[in-house]
Amino acid sequence: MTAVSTTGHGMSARLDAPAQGALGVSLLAAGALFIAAPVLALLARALFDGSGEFVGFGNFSAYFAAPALTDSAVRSLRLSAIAAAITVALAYGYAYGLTLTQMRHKTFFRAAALLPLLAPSLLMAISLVYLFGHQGLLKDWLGRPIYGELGIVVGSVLWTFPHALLILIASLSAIDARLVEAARTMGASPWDVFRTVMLPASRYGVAMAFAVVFVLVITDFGVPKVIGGQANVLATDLYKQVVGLQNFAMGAVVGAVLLAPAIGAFFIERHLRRRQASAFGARAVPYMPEPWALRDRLFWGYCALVSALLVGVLAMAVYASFVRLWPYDLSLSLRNYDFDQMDGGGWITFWNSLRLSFGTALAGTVLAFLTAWFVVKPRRFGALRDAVNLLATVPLAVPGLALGLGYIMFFNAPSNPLSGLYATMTILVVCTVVHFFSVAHLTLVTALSQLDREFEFVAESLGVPFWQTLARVHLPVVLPALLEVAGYFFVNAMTTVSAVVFLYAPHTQLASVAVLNMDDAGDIAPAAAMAVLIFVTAALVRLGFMAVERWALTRTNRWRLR
Amino acid sequence: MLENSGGAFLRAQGIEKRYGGQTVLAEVDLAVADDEFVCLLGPSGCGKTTLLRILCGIERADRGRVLLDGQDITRASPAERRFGIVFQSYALFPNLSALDNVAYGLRGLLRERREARAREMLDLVGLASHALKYPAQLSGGQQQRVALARALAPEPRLLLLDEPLSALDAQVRLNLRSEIRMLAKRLSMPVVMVTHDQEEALSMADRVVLMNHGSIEQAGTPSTLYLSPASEFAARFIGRVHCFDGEHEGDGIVRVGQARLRLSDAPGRIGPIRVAIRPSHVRLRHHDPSAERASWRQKEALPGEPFPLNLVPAWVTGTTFSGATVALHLRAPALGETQDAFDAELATTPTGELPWREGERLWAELPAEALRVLRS
Amino acid sequence: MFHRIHRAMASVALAAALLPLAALAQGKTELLVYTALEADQIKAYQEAFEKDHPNVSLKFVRDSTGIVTAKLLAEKANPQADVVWGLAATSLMLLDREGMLMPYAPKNLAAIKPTMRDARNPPTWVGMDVWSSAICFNTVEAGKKNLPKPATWEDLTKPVYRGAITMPHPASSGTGYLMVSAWLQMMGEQKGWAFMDALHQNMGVYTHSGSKPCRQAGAGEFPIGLSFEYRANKTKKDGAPIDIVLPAEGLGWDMEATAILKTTKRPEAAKLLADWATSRKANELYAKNFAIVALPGVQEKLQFIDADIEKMLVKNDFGWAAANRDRILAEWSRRYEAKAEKR
Repeated sequence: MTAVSTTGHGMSARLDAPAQGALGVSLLAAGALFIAAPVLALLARALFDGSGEFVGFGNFSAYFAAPALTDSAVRSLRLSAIAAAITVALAYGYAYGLTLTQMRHKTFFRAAALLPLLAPSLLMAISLVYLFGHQGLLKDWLGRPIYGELGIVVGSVLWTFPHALLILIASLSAIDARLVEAARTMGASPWDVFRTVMLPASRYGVAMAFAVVFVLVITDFGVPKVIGGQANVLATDLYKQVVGLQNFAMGAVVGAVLLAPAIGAFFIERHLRRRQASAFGARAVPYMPEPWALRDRLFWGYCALVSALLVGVLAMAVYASFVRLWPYDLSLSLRNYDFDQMDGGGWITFWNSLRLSFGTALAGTVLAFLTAWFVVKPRRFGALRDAVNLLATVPLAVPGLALGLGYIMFFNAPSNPLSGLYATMTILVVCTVVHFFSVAHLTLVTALSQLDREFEFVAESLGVPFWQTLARVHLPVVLPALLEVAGYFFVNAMTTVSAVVFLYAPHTQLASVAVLNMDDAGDIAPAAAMAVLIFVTAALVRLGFMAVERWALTRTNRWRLR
Repeated sequence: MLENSGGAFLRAQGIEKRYGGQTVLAEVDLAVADDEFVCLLGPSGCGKTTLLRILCGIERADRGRVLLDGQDITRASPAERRFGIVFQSYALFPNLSALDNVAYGLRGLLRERREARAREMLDLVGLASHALKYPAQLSGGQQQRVALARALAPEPRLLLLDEPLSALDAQVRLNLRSEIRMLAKRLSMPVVMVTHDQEEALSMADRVVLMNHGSIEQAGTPSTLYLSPASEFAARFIGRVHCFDGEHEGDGIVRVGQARLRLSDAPGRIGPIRVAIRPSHVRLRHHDPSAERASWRQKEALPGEPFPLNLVPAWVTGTTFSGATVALHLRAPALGETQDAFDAELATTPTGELPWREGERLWAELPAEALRVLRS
Repeated sequence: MFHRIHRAMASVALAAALLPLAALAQGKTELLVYTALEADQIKAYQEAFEKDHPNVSLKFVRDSTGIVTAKLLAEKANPQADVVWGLAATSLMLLDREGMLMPYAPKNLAAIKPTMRDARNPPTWVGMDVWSSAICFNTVEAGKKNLPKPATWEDLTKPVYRGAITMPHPASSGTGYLMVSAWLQMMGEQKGWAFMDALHQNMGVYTHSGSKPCRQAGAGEFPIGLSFEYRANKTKKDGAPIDIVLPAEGLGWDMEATAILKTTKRPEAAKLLADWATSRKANELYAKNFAIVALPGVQEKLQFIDADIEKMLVKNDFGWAAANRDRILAEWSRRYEAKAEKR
């Protein structure tokens, strides 16, 4: 065996440090350019007037002096708080049923509740118009038209429900069985156990879900636009200032105002997440509830009711999209799918959305993987890694509307050498990747952190360059997380309106924006049709990703099986 | 000692490492000969792992140099050092088969040569038939062997083992100990292994380097460390030991309480002294109840009257059975109030019968050749 | 100099962004056209033009009149559009005042009605068609709610219509603005604002688009929608149960017109489009959608509109309407903004 003359201790690993450094610096530069600069451009723009004169906080004082605009701010805060409270309350019971009972059909209930994630927020609002509008199917149930604050709250609750649900499920799943058993052995009743163990354990989850939903609602403008009637909110004000009046300075002010609650919620959530992490050590034993007929049936009934509501509202939009002329001619037709005859921009918008979604899924996943790898793995570059990590989490605190606006401010400046990107599909992809980057980043950081820390040392001591280990080990091992992230990017790129609404060009109009524009022009049925198309596409792609994942697990990842 | 010989293959000189305000390694010198198996032994936090990481280049020392074969490699990267490393967690790539794991570091070879070499290595660690299995399909011991094969495959100049056996079951650990040592010897490979398990260190190493609080407490062969601990820490860390404070009265005679003990190497200084003995070195003698009782009583009754040299009267307060050996817990008030309890360790007899029962009186002999003077 | 470099860079970038490689390979010129035409009209116009001029392809940016206007004004420093085809004459006059339009006499200019073009020679804009206000009245919903069919603008202020009416927001919709402007010109400022105050009491919602009120009336969402005749005709044709009401006092109107941006990098192609936009063929297409077009003799009746619209148009001073636009919109916003629909 001593005859082997060539050894593996090559010199190529020598380039590791410079290559990793270059990767880190590139990521940092990209982050600075595509995350930090647009946000700063937005904030800076709020300090100048329409003709480019510096006015300090003049725009802000003008904003707060206009009663119509401050009205919107107050209403936004109020409605967001109400919607968040209702959503979290509804989702808590649902999440409890899914995690802490032995009711039947859990898989179905979980899937049904997550359906709204696959549709633009507009779809729920459009459905509500068909259900409770002046000509709504169930208009008599409400006794008043849904338009206005009521519509905003109901629509927001419907589309944010799965977001709250996912957070609460995670939080309730972390309950420590040992605490429950300890309480039982001391003779606590089920109610006592709930009050003393479950409730305190889930309070961070509740607060986190509230913060997240609050921000989702306050920064969403799809729902208020479709069903808000005369109730103005911050998000619609921003849109009106920028798109309606082309008043970018005032738009920037509203964008900056919108940034405040989002950043606040970001820090609250981060704080809560740390508290939760420290309160529930990794040693917690997962709690497996015992069957209990009464409780299980009650929760089954509740979940059935809520999921029926969600599915019913979605189904209404699907049905309405096939009706020839609501409410006078209820015969079914495909007329509403003839998008080329509508104001929204035609079928090309759908193909554009597909291009955007595939581009975003691809670019986003690759970037998020490299970023997460750089943040987790190399043992050098401490400060650089911290900086990259910080930048990667910034988008979580930036509402889509503000981000999109920042992109206009930054990339449409004629003096910006990158202004060539403006009005291209590329910028839509970049902006969408950035918009949804943080969640993808955190998912992959978690996945990579679970890998053995010594992999890198082993590879390095064997003289293998880091990128080879990256490709041969890290990539295959975190493949499920990568597919998850790719699906997340795809679906969000398909459904998002907020950031891209400022950035699309004539040849890059998007399906989700077309929904908005068609609704705007009164073509509500075609708007519903396009939203349904988006929903179906997103669902199919999600299923496709699941199939790929299953295939990959059985075919290429034999090592996962014991 | 090797530190003074010129023939060291790996040499660390004056290594210092601080984290924040805390000194983790202070002026550590280490030398490893080119076919030597060295164990870095010590309690957790003693700096042994940090020293290993500095040797393999994962970490940099604040001060000091690392020389390999006379060349300064202080600033060399892990790859440039060409050391093989095995970690406690094995760190096998879960998505690669045993064979691919072993072949991972074999670069610049043709495919066939790589595979042949990897198979050869697997054969060496006795896993030839498991080549295509994935880590999750192997037992802990098998995984550790694959990790070993992987580290050895590229013919490293030195093998570094970081607590390689601590995650394994007791029986597997025993087997692997001798296997690893034999492998190293067969390949004439210099090895530095970190462990906190004194038994492991004693059974595997050519030389044990005992560390405490960031510096080297004592270095030497396993028997030197066991039989001639230089300090109370060394004595207590390796094996069991009893220490007695006494007074050196000159001529190698030490008075401990009422007992007088003769030492085989007499210290020069007269005055307070601490001596130690291992329980297995205590010898026991029967009391002859009829003949000796009277005189023993008499002696006990007369304070100041010395017992025979190296003998002290005691009685059995209890026993602890631990397989191959039995510990008799003894009490000898003559040794002084705070140090009157100690053990004697005996081999278990085939019948399991003990020559002494609880409560029985006896003479305990602390032989001169078994007593060590400790540096305090 | 610096400015020129930026410009050049921006336009190179834009060209790279907008021109598909195929078009470049074929030597096609691509024109970026800003328009407020309806999507269902654009397709027919574009096809007809590109058939006659296969070397020129058109890219449209379409939005409501107000928004296209605001966009053009906002881009004044760095205009993106080559041609404006189908935007309210009042809006074009605003752009003209900013010096953004290129004077050009299209080939068929002599044949165009003198009232439907910029009076100067060569003109900066030339009209295409007239679009005028119309009321869409849902007969089914009216029947259910016992709403009488209105015959005049004044009728709409009756309390019986409370919450039943929608109209477009004049800042974002050209249709909205032409109504407001017509009321003020027809009734005089004082009476005009008083009328709108009363109308405001009955308003369900102000929409962003000029089409939406009629579509909403067609869907029964709000029974009465103040819109324009093309959308009214089309909605009825699509089967909605509406009657089209042309109020007796007279109809507000504006012209859709064509203009070339002074800053265009493709003046030759832009002129081709301007020529074609005044051609007989184009006017025949306009006539399918509008009762009054710029070329005499190509009039065509709209299927569901019997009256002679041309006679019902109020006297409209475009100059006044354009010059006072900012003031009127500010006043309107002060009075009614709270009810404007979100945009």
